[in-house]
Amino acid sequence: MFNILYNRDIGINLHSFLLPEPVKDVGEYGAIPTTGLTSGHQGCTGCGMVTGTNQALRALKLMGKHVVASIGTGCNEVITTQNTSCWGETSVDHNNFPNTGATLSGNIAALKALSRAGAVSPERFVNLGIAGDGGTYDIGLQALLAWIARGEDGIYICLNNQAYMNTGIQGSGATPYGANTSTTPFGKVVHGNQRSPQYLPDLALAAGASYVATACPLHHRDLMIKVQKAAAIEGPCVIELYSVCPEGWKSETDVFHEITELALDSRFWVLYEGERDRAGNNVLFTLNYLPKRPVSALEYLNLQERFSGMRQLGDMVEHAQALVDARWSFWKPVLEANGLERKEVGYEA
Amino acid sequence: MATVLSGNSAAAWGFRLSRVQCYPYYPITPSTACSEQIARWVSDGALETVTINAESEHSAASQIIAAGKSVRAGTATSSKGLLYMIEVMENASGGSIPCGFFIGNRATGAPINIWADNSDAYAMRDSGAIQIFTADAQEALDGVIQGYRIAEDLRVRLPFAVNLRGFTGTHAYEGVEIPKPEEVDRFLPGYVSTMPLFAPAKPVTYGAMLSALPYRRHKRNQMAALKNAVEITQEIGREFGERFGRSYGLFDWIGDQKAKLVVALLGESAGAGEVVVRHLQGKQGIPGVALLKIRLFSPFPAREISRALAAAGTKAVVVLDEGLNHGGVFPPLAQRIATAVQLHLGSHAPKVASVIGGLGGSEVRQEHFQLMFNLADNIAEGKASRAEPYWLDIDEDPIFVENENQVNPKLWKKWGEVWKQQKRKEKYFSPLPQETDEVRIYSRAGQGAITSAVGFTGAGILAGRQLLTVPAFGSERRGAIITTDTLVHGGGGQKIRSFNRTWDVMVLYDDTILYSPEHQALDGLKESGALLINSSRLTVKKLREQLGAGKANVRVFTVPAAEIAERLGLKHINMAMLGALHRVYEKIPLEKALPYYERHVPKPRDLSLEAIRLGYAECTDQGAKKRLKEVRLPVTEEFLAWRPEDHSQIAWPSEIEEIRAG
Repeated sequence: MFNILYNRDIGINLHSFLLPEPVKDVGEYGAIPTTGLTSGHQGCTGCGMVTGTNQALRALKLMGKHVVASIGTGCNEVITTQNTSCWGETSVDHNNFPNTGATLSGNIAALKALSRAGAVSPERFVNLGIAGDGGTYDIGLQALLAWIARGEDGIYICLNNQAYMNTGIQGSGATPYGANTSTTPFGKVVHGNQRSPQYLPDLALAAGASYVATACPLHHRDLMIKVQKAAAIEGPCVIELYSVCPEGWKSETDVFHEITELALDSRFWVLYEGERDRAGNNVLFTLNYLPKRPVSALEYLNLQERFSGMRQLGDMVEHAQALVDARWSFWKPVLEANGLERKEVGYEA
Repeated sequence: MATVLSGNSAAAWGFRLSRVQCYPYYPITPSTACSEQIARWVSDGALETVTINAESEHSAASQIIAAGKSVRAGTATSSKGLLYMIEVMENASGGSIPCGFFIGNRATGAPINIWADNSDAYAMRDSGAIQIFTADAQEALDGVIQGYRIAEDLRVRLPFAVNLRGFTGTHAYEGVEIPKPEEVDRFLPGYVSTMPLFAPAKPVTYGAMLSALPYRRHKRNQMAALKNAVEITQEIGREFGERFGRSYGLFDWIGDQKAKLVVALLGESAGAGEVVVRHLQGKQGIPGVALLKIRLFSPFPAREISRALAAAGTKAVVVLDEGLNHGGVFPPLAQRIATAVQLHLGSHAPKVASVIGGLGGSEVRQEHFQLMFNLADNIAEGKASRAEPYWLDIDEDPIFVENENQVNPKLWKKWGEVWKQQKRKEKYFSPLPQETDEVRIYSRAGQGAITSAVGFTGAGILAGRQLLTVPAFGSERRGAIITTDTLVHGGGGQKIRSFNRTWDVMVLYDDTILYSPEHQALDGLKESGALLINSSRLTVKKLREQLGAGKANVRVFTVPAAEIAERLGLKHINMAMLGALHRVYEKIPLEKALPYYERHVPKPRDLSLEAIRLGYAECTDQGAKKRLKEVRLPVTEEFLAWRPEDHSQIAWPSEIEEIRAG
């Protein structure tokens, strides 16, 4: 286990005690044209994953890194590599569904061997793993946790859209409680997904990650800063991106912004980061976003038809709320230190 | 100068000399020792490979496939581990990644079985990799080096697998020529990736998704590249021969140029076949015989093999498969040969019969080859044979049946007509001359018998003889009774790697083994043989009783190895036993062996050497009865504390005449 320390300050955080200097804010780079994915990808209208990938790639390119992306099978891979590649100047290694962590490991080893041979300088490159929630929480978990446990230097990004969207919306280990998917259908007897999701940052920290963070493309400054930190910090860094999926969530394609805001304000998705101080066996947690107007779980559920069944059932909504509240209670010491107390609407000093 | 290596170590040398840059590994019997050797070298700074301690074979394979896009990568595996890798294997072949796999072939359960057959290699045959089968440690070492040359050739660019039979190949210790690193560097230049990932100027995307049109073109090209490997394997095998003096081809044709009868097989079991071919060649009434030892299994050299068979005028081919093709007509090798000769030779094709043997560690013995050549002879004469595989060593379903009552009526109903035509011909079963001396050590696991036998092997090779040591291997607990077998024959010429299983020298590291009803340790000992026993308490009378009347001529030697070890403060008795063995087996004199021991015995070297000398000096030929005092080391007490495999409730301590000093 590790000791939990809290950063008293809430908000976007350029500093890391693992780094001698704060990372640059996105604006400080000036007008550097970069691209993420190039045009021609086959992502759905309103897809959050493509935006998230774009922002992550741009953050790394701003740092002057050549990205070598080890990507797992899934929507993100299928929509960007069909008969052509939409990865622009990024080198891409798509291996398989269950082995993103292992592929990342292989490429990290190759970089080590090449730099030993004097063929390349390692600081020029960043090894980035990208997989979906199915490839992270379920089939790829073994490879991912082993990669973290080996302590290799790289970034792993999970594009979490909370189900197997590429294969037709089946429930995964990250599917929220009560969601209607094709393998956890909302029926008369069984009401959607009965298990509560796992949380990647928890798993990654337990395995020994140096840095974990959650982010969402709506707060792109926060996302890019976190990716840059992950690139600068030595050791395995894991970032989970909230990825809106209109197809799988049965939401309108133009409510990307609203859904994300509601996820943050209902605290279904909490933006935070954790940095590991190995010497002191501590993890320092920072809360990066404080909901200005906390809303109930029901409000979040309302915009997505995957929750249309469960939101009619009071006890299921209550249970969903209870899960959210239990996880939010982790941040109580930070709220207290800031003299903030949660009210029905908003926070009061 | 040959070095004593196991098959696994030889493969590890192959990777080392190939200057493999990335080596992820995950342990699995029987190929683990290859990875252990690499890890040891890396830990000692002898090798600069980036190793990855993977958490599964699936990840290890994923890692070499990822790393193989930029650097030279390799790993080793077996059995289920290989099956676990197969899921990603096609990413290597489909992505043109020339990475290397060393495979210690092993059965794939259930039922679980850790011993050898080709099931794992057969399971990977549709993964698009080059599959090379090797027959001994030397071939494995050379195979890995050549494998990278073949796989990295621009006309091929595919993954390769070097196969060696588990245990009898991977755990057999023999003399291996390790090529000079600089010569290997000239033969195998550094790997240059044509599409590297770490090249900012030229970004690439591996593993893209292709729709039907580009997909089918890609797959066709992939197949064509694999097919190219036939010619290139031949070219590179020839070049290897020019540089290192050991040439390799697509297959070995061992025996008569004009062989009417051919037995075809893959890998190490050929050792027993070679002995039989040499024995049968030129015998009265036996047409030309040959062994077709196939080296390149995938891509299958169908045209070349068919041409060779046609050129020899072969009438019948019996194919031995050490694995199955569930639900198929013939198992994989037989199926490939049968298809090849039909397609290439048509009505001139020799007849093909299939035999399944060697499964799950079953030995393929010399008599089996006699049987197969007999079968081939019958078929060549036009006798009917089965249109499905025969089995070796299945009592109720033999290859030849003399009378109906011998087998199940249902089987007779099905195969009676074929059995009636198939006749056993005694000319194929004349006794084989014994060209080798065979030494068996019975010891308890933990006594260091393998170490001493490997030392003996090295010393024997230095003394100009050919030796091979095969330790038994199983799920042995410490203290269990194990065997370690060594084969010795004259220097030069043909290497022999087939045991007759009659022992010229039997060595017992622990006298209680005599009383294990499950081992019958003295059974295979030749009448003209010798028995060496570590004992300070058994009388010759007792030993003679154990040997029985049939072995009155066996020479009995005793050595107080435990006492010697205690006197020197050594933990193990193995060095004293090694010294005594030279006294018993005089064909490898101790003086000739000592230079080897001076460099290779376990540390502390001076004490080990002293133990060898004392073991030699104090080994007594028990023609003269001599009273011995008992000495028991703590370690011996520990061994004795284990319950032996004595389920029959024999009160064995009373059987031992304990003679106390005094």
